Amino acid sequence: MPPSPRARRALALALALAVVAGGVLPAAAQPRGEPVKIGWISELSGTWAFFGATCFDAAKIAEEEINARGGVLGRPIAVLPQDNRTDPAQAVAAARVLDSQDKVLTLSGPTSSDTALAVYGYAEQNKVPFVVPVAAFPRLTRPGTQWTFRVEPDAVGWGYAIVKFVEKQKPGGTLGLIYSDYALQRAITAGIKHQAERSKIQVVSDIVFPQGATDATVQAAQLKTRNPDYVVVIGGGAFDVTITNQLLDVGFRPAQFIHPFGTVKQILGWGARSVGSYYGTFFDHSLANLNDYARGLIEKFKARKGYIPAYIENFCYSTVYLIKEAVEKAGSTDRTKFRDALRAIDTKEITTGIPIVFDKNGARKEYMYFMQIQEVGKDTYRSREAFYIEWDPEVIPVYQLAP
Amino acid sequence: MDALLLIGLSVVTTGLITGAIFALVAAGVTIVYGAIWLPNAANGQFFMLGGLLVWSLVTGWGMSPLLAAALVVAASVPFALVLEKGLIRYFYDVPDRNIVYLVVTLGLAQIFAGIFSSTYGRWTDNYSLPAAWPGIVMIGPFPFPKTRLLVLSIALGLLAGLFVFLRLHRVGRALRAVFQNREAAALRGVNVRGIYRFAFVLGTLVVFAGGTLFAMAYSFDLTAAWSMAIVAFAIMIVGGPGSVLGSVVIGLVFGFTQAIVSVFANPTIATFSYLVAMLVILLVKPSGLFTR
Amino acid sequence: MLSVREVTVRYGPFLALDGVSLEVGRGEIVGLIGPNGAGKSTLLRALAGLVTPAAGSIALRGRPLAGVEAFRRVGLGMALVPEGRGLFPHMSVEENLLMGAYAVRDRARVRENFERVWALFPVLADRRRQLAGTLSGGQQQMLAIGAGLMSNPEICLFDEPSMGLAPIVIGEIAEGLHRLREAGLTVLLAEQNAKLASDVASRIYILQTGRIRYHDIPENLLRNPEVVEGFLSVY
Ligand SMILES: Nc1ncnc2c1ncn2[C@@H]1O[C@H](COP(=O)(O)OP(=O)(O)OP(=O)(O)O)[C@@H](O)[C@H]1O
Ligand SMILES: [Mg+2]
Repeated sequence: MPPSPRARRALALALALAVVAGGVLPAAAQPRGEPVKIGWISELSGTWAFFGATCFDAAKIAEEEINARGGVLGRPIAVLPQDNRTDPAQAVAAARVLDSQDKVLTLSGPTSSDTALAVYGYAEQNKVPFVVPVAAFPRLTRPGTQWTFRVEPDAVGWGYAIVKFVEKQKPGGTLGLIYSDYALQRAITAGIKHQAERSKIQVVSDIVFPQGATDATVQAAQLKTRNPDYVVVIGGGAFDVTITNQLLDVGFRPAQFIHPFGTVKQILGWGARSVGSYYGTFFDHSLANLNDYARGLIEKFKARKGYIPAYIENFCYSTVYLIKEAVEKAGSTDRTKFRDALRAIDTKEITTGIPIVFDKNGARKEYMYFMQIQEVGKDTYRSREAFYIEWDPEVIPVYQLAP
Repeated sequence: MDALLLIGLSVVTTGLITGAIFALVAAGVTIVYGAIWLPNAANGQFFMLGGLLVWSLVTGWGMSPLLAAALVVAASVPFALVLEKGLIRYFYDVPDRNIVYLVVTLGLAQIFAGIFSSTYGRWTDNYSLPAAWPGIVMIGPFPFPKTRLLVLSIALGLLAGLFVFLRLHRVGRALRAVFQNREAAALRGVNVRGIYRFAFVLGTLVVFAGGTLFAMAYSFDLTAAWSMAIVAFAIMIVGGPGSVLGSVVIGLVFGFTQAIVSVFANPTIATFSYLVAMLVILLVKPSGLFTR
Repeated sequence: MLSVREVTVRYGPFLALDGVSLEVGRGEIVGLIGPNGAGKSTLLRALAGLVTPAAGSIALRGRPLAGVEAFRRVGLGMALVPEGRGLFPHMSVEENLLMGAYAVRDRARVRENFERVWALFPVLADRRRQLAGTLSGGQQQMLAIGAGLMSNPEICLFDEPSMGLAPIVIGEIAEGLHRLREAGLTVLLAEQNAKLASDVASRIYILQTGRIRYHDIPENLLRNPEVVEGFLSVY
C-alpha cells in the first residue's frame, strides 16, 4: 500500500486544483549569476507523470547539493524543467524552447521512451547534447548516434539479464511471459526470447495484453495449466499489480515471479503477498554497502516526498552529477567539448560506484541487479540481492531485436 | 479435466465480474441519456473519480474499502446536484441538446483528466486497494478471491435493485415515462425537469458505484477512464439508448465475449472482441436490441 | 368550471389564437369544432399549460392558471388527452393507466379508478399486460381516454379522439363519452368530426383561423345554413 500522507496530499491537491479548475506546475528554478543550464524535459503530467515527477524531484536534490558545494566551474548549476505532458510533440516543443531561448548546455529528463525518442530526434538534428536518465528503448543509442548518451541500460539487454538469471537459478528451466503491449515490454521480451534459445531455457507461453486491459484471470488459469518454473510479469501501469495478484490467486508461488523492474510504488503495490518474488533493478535502498551519496539521496528524498527512492530517482540524481563531472572535464560550457567529454568519460556512478562508460553510440556499459523481496510494509519494503550481472551493450543484437 | 474446469470457471467468473461492472457503468450512462439526451462523455472520469476517492480514503485515512466505497457513492449525490444546478440544467431546453451536451461533457472530461494527471498522476501510476474481504474461496478447482465475490454480489445486487426500482416504483416508472414521451409524462403530472435532475443524480451515482467496485476488484490507473467511457457508450448503443435492461444484457454479453474469446485467442483479440459483437448486433438491429 | 378570456397565442409571428373566449360549466360536455389548422389543439394545449398564451386569462374553478406549469395543472383537476394520444408505447396497458394516476397518491382511489376504466372500456381489461404500442388505434384511443380519467380530473380535454378511426370505432368512443356525461364529468371536446361533437355536446363553439365564429346549441347550429355549409358539411 502506498503510504498515507501522500494519498492525503494527493487528494488535497486534487481538491485545490478542482477549485481553480486548472493545472499548476512547479515554477522554474531561478538561477543566479551565470548558471550552467540543464534543460529538463520531463513527464510532469500525463500518463507517465509519476515517473517524470519523481525523477525531477531527485534531480532537484542533486542540483541543490552541487550548488551547496560550490557548483560547477565556480558557477551554479540549474535544472530547468519543462513539462512534456507525456506527449512526444510537446517534448520536441520543449526541446526547442530550452535550446533556442534558454540556451541550455544539454538536454535531459525524459523518463519514457516515446518522449525521449522525440527529444533524441531534435538533439541529433540540432547538435544539442542529450543525456537520457531513464528510458530503455534501444533505438535511443542506435548506431550513428552522435549527441545522445543513455544512463539506463537498454530493455533488450534486460531480457538478456533475466534469462541469465533463470539459467543460474534453474538450468534448463521453463519460462512463461505475460505482459502488456508496450514498446518497452516488447523490447524486454524480444531479448528474453533471443537469449532463451541460447541458454536452453524454454519459453512455454507468451501472452500479450493490449494496452488498457484490466483482467487476466482466464490467462492466469491458462498459464497455470502450463506451469512454468518462472513467470516474467510486465503489466502496463496498474495492470501489473492486477496480473500479479491474479497469478497468485490461481496458485503461483511468489518465488516463481520475475518482474523485470521494480519501482517503489510497484513493489508496495504487489504487497506482502509477493514476498519471495524477484525483480530486476539498477538501484535499491536494500542493497548492501550503500555509500554516503546513496544514503543522503535516500534520506533527503524520503524526508521530502514521504517515500523511498529507487532506480528511477537514482538515475535522475546521478545523471545531474554525471553532467557536472563532464562539464568539469570539458572545462567549459561549449556543447561540442561537453559532448566529447561525455564520450571519453570513464567514471563511477556517484551512488553505486558502478562504472559509467559509453560506447561509440552513447550506450552505457550495462548491468542489472535481481532482488528478492523479503518484507513489504505499508510504506517501505526490504529485499536482498540475489544476482548481479554486467554486460556489453551489444552482447546480443539489441538494435535488430527492437528496431 | 481439472485444467478444463479451471479455465471454464475462470471464464465464468471473469465474464460475470467484468460484465457486471460494464453493465453498471452503462446503466448509469443510459439512464442519463434516456432521460435528458445527455451523452455523458465524462462518465469515464466520473468512474475514475469514484475509484480515486475510495483509494484516497483507504490509503490516506485507513478506512475500510467498503465503508470508503459507501461514503464515495453517497458523496456522488451532492456532486451530481452541484453539477446539475451549476451547469447541466441550463441546456435542458436547447434544441439539439445532445450535441451541446456532448461538447460540454467532453470539456468536463478534459478538465477532470487534467486535474487527475497533475495531482494523482504525479503520485503513482498504480492505485491498489487492500482486499475488502481477504482470503480465497475454492469453487471446485478454481480459487476465487473473496473480495471479487463481494464485488460481484454488490454489482449484481445494485443492478437488480435498479431494475426493480425502474419497473415497480412510482418514480422509476415516471423516469421511464419521460424516456418514452416527455410531453405525455408532463400531462400525467410528472415534473419533467425534476425527473431530469433525478436521472442525472441517479445515473452519476450508479457510475460512481461502478468505479468504486472496479477499484475494489482491480488495480487501476488513470487510463481506465477513457476505455471505460468508450465501452459504456458502446454498450448503451447496442443495448438500446435508454434501456437499462439492454445495458445489463449487453454488459454481460461483452464481459462474457471477452472472457470466452480469451480462451481461444490472444488477449488483444479478446479485449476488442466486443467491438465485433457490437458491429454484428448493430447490423442485425440498428436501433439497439432493447427499447426503453 | 373553466373560463377562458380573450386568449391569444402566437407561434413566432404567426397568430394561432386571436382573443378566444369560452366557458365550460360543471357537468357539461362542450364541443369545439373547426377545420384543420383552426387552432383547436393550440387552445387545448394552452389550457393544459403546454403553450403559454401571449395574452388573455384562463381560470379553473375561479383560480387563474397563469404561470402554473403543465404538470401542476393535473393536480388541480385538469386532464388533457392530446392529439396523438400521449401514450407510453413500451409500457403495458396497466402501466399506462398507473402513469395516468401518477398524481393520485391514495391507493384505494387508484384501484377504484381502475375499476371505472375497466367498466368503461372492457376491452382494455382483457389486454392489461399488452404493450400500448401494439394496441389497435381504437384501443389506443380508449386507453388514452382511460389514462386521462385515472387522475380523477374535474375537467377532461379531449383532442380529436375520432382521428384516424373507423366509423364503428368512433361509435364506441361516442358511447363512452355518453357514459362519461351521465357520470357527470365535465368535458371540452375538440373535434373535426362535427357529427360526434353534436351528438355528445350540449353546446358547441366553432373555431376558424384562431377565432370563435359561432357558439350555440347543436340544434340551432344545424339549422343555420351558413354553418352547415361552412363547417358541418360532413354531417
Ligand atoms: N409549434 C408550432 N409552431 C408554429 N406553428 C404552429 C405550431 N403548432 C401549430 N401551429 C400552427 O397553428 C395553427 C393551429 O394549429 P392547431 O394544431 O392548433 O390546429 P388544429 O385546429 O388542431 O388542426 P387539426 O384539426 O389539423 O389538428 C396551424 O396553422 C399550425 O400550423
Ligand atoms: Mg389539432
